[in-house]
Amino acid sequence: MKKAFAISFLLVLAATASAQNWFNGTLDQAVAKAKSENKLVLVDFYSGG
Amino acid sequence: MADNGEPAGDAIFKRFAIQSTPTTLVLGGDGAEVDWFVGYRPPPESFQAKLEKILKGEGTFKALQAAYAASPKDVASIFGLARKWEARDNTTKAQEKYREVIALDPEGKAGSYTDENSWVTASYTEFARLLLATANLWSPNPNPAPVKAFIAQYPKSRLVKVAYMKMSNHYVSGASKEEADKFFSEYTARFPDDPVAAAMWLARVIRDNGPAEKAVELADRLRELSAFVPDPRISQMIARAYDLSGDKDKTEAMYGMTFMQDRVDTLASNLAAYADYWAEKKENLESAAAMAETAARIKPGDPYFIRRVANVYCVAGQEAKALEVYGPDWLERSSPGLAAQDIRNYATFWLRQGKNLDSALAAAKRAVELEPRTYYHWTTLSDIYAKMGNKPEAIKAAERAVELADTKSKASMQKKLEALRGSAPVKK
Repeated sequence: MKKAFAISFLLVLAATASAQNWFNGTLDQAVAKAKSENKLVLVDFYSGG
Repeated sequence: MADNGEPAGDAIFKRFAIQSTPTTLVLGGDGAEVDWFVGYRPPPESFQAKLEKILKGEGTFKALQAAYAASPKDVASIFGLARKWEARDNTTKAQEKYREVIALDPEGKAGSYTDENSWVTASYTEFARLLLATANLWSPNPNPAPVKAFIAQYPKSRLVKVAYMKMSNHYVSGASKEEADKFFSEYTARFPDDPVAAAMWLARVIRDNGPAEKAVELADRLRELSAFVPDPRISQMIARAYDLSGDKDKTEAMYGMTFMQDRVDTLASNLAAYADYWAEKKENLESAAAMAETAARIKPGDPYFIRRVANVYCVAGQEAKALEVYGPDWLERSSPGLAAQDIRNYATFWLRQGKNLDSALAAAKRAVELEPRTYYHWTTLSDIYAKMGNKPEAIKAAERAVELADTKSKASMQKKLEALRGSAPVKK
């Protein structure tokens, strides 16, 4: 499988799974933000073309 | 989004030892892994359902780890952790956990697991032993001996069949011809009714380009085993076997135009049946509509399948869409090629919906025009007039239906007519 090492982060609300905006920044920033907002981080590993 | 601000995206792949994509990994606010899943399969709702399960903390890696920490001898949690690591292709960690399962519960009494591919249920320990035994089958130097040892240890296990199936890949492409012959003789003798056993052996014979007699023998057997549920992959192998023997007629009969047209027809019927099933339950309607549309696409011009699409849209309350695919425009466009029965079906469909009645009436009139001596076309016409409140015309058409009805239907037609005559005038 081809790996283009594309990654995106999403802060997942603890209560609902409604449409969310993807987080723009580094993984560590995303984790820090998740911690402060009591959320989880979704890391999507996918292959690009 | 994407790897903005994260130029070394591959560093994150390495950090979490991600082996394949797509992988969805959920982290907690402490940066620790909460859970993950590998692969994506539509519909998106099932992806969402998985995420919601994670949000609830059901069966997650984190939950299993917590259960394990609380009771380190809980075999179910350990096995669960092993499956999580295996899903992520982390063989080392998976094997470590499988070994723990075996050490804690050598007799396999702690509980059982159902595999989601084979649907076989067996004890955690049996699964752990088999998964450890098969681990090296995909290594550069595959060794089937541990799997054979598993079969010897659990001769009556439901997993024996799975064990043979897993080994068969090696014997199709890895082992010598002699070893393969020996293995497949044993496999097919043990599971004579298993099409997989015969198909894998045939795959090997085709790979070796013969012997043709063996290929034909296996092909004939496979034909019998897959007669009720023909599988195009198996049919192609059977055709290849007949190619080896030079029997063109049999190849054509097995895998020619008729075979594939039958598969297409069967697929269309299955898609329509699926759409009807969910429409009846008034659930899963988006998928039902999509599948009905697929059926209509692969059987273009067949009114039956277009009607299935319209039916789902009506059930979903999307009448405009139903009219778009199966409304007056459709009728006008298709009319020249339609049989009277198809036109009547259009009329009864909309009569049942109680919508689009003007067009339904026009269709019913057209049906009686085409086949004026078929009583049930007149019945439909009468029903539509009645629904529209035009009692005199409804009675006229019903009288004609009584006149033409066969002896079996005459009585019920007569009853219908009398009801029409006797009923209070219907207001328009």
